[in-house]
Amino acid sequence: MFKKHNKRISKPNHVSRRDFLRFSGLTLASSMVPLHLSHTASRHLNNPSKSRILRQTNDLLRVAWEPPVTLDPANLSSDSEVALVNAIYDYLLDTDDQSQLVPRLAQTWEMSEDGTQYTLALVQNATFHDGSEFTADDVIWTFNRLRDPGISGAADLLGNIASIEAPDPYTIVFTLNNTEPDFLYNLTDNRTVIQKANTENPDTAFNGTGPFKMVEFDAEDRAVMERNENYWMDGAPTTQQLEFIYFGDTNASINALRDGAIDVVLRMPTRVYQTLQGDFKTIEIPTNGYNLARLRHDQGPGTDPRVWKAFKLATDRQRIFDIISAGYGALGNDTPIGPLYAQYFNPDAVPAERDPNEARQLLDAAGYEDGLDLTLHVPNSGDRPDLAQALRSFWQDANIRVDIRLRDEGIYYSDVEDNWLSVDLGITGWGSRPIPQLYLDLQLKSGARWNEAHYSNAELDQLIETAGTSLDQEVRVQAYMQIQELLVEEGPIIVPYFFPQFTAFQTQFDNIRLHPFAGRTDFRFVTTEE
Amino acid sequence: MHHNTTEKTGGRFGLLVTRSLAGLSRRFKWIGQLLRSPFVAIGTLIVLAFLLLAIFGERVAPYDYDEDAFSNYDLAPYEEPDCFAEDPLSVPVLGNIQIFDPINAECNYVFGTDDLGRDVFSRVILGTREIFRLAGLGTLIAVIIGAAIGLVIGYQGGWLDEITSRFLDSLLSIPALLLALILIGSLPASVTLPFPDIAVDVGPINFELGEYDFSLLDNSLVVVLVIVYSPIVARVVRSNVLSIKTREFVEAAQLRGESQFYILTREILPSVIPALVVEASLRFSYGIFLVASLGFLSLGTDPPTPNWGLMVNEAYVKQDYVCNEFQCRAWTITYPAMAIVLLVVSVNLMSDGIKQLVQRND
Repeated sequence: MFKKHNKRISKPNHVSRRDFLRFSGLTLASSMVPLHLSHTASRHLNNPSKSRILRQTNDLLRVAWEPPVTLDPANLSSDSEVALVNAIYDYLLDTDDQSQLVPRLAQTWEMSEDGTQYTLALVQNATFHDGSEFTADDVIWTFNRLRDPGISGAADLLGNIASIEAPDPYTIVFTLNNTEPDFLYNLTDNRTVIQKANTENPDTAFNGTGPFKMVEFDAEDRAVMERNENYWMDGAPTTQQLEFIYFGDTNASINALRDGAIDVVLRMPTRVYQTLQGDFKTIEIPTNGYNLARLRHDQGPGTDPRVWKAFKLATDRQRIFDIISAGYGALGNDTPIGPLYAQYFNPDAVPAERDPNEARQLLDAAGYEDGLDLTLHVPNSGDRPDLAQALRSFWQDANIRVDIRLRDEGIYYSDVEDNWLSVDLGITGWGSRPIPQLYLDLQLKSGARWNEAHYSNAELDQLIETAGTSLDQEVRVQAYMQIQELLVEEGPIIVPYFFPQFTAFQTQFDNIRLHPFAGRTDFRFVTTEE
Repeated sequence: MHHNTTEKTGGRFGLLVTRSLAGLSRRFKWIGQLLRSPFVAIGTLIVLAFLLLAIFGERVAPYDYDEDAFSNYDLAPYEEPDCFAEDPLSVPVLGNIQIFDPINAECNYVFGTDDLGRDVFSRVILGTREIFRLAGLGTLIAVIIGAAIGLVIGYQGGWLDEITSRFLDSLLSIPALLLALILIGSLPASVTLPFPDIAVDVGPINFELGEYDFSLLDNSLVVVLVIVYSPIVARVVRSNVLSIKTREFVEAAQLRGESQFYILTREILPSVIPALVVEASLRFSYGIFLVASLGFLSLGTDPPTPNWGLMVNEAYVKQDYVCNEFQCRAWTITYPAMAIVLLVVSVNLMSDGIKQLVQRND
């Protein structure tokens, strides 16, 4: 009894001390959270001693990516997934950072007079990692698989192909249903890597003709690849061992870069890029990638065109560009056609000056005298949360009040009920593509698969059709110019700026060929300084 | 006569004041006891100061938490003393924006500004309310629900106690942060409260009831705190009830034939309250920490809400803590982090004092 009593008295006292100490520790720890996290993250990665030894011979390149999810080339989309297949496999054609076509497995190409046939000559000395020879049959098998809507997400894109034939083992002929002047760019699509004909498990076979062979792969940890000694291109690749190391978030990878646990980081918020300048080699290139804001036009307040016009009038693109993008990249003009597409870009298509008062009047006229209350859905990555707060602040002046809801990117772009295609008001990131037609076909044409604003405009549809099919370059340019004028006036998207692509890497490396689409960055020719 | 009355009244009034003061001092003797230890006194005063900030934050903060997202971004906290040269009273904490030096923008931002040009000082101040609202409300509801459960199962005993206790134990076996993560992931965006359709229109009383959509977006952390902490409170209360219910005064009440409700609320509850107060203060400090931690993971709260944990996260993601020749914006991370540290330590010191007080009076 006495014992119990004693225990009752002393217990709270004891707990109190312990709790206090524990809490003091926790609070101190909280103030050091950033430091703490950075150290645990990098320590975790520092352990492979094998890497250390190889590193001294400068034969290892370690690149940070986010964990890949989809590995079947026919359905992949994210940078890290594309980067993986870009190392293991080859594309028929690549594009450079100026959006020009670059030969890869296809060395030369020509279009028939009527524009419906494309003939490509293939390299003759390429072999797959299993030793078998690369021929036109593999191209036919790969593209037939990519055209199958039951299997592939690229089926729409390649829907214009009528037939694929091989007059000889190193020549391939694509015959089209309709003319499509940008057809060859479809062959540079991220999903079109060439696999061995009749591959059983396209997602795990890793049997490509590419510069690197898979040694070890764990989607949650890393991909270890070694140089393909039989690569068809002389002298490439220059790196003995390529490792893609998978990180859950940008900060962990940046801290690993600082600690020397990895060599290259791509894709990062502008601010983070600025912090790395000086300590590392950095490259930035312009891209046509952008974050757009859009309101659904088929339901809710967006059905009245004056409402979206009010949003547009309330937005100050220049200030967003200056502050969120810190002047990197290019100013946006509410169209997906940026200055990178030099010949198709219309510098005269400029949105109206910001005028919150006129925006208010438009809302009044549309029947929203008390303003609008909406939820803005925002993928929680990159500069998007900052962009959302800037837009919120501008729109507030026009009596448009938005609640920001940050969404996990993977979930927001998945097929959940309130995903990016179904919410009323949202921000979406669109990666860089070599030609403008793709954005128009996917995002702005009536009924298009990714027409997230659910916008429909017959005049625009006609112009998109013309731009995509005409063989007269003058007509196409004209169509793109008109498309931009139309979108600036009444288009369903706000594009405040085009973001650049960034990379930062350890100073001994050179010749990393950064691509506007980060996943297509070329690591074949990386050199090191002793 | 008149004069006399006044004098008399004055005398009475004086007596009244003296008596009330004496009564007050007796009644609030515990305040003196509580503040006896300097650490406890400091902690309590800081908590009270934060509480005042939570209530009157707008009067102290020179800007709104989301104000003017762009005018002066990335400004460091002011350094030069000439910032105040014109008028020494123009310290920002004293009042509204007009009295600041409009030419020297830095002077207006004691804690600097973040990358969107928002005043860090104002955001920290206005974040106080957010943290008190979430942690305070969550703790309060958790204590009420936990106490009710603990009272009932402790007093009833038997299979009800067995089943409920095992269920609470199973909840307690999950680490608080983990449980919170699971809950946030599974909470819906809003719940529909099924009020019956009632329309009242009698003279000045005029209201309508009906189904009500209660948004969980801003309140999900409150719900999380309630679910995470009420089992802990219930267990503490239950163990107290187990020892109290065998005491003579409870047995006397039972013999008198008092109802169970009466016994629980009038006889047992008062004896549990000291332990409950101690537990509540402890839960509150844990609650602050949990809210800040979840904010740091950017869960349950969305920008531009001035949640301290979220502020630390936003600055952390932009690597504001990195200081090199190109940047150093450590102030966006240090001030909210310091606010968390200060409040949690202070609440702990205070709850320590309450604990000592309760034990001394036992």
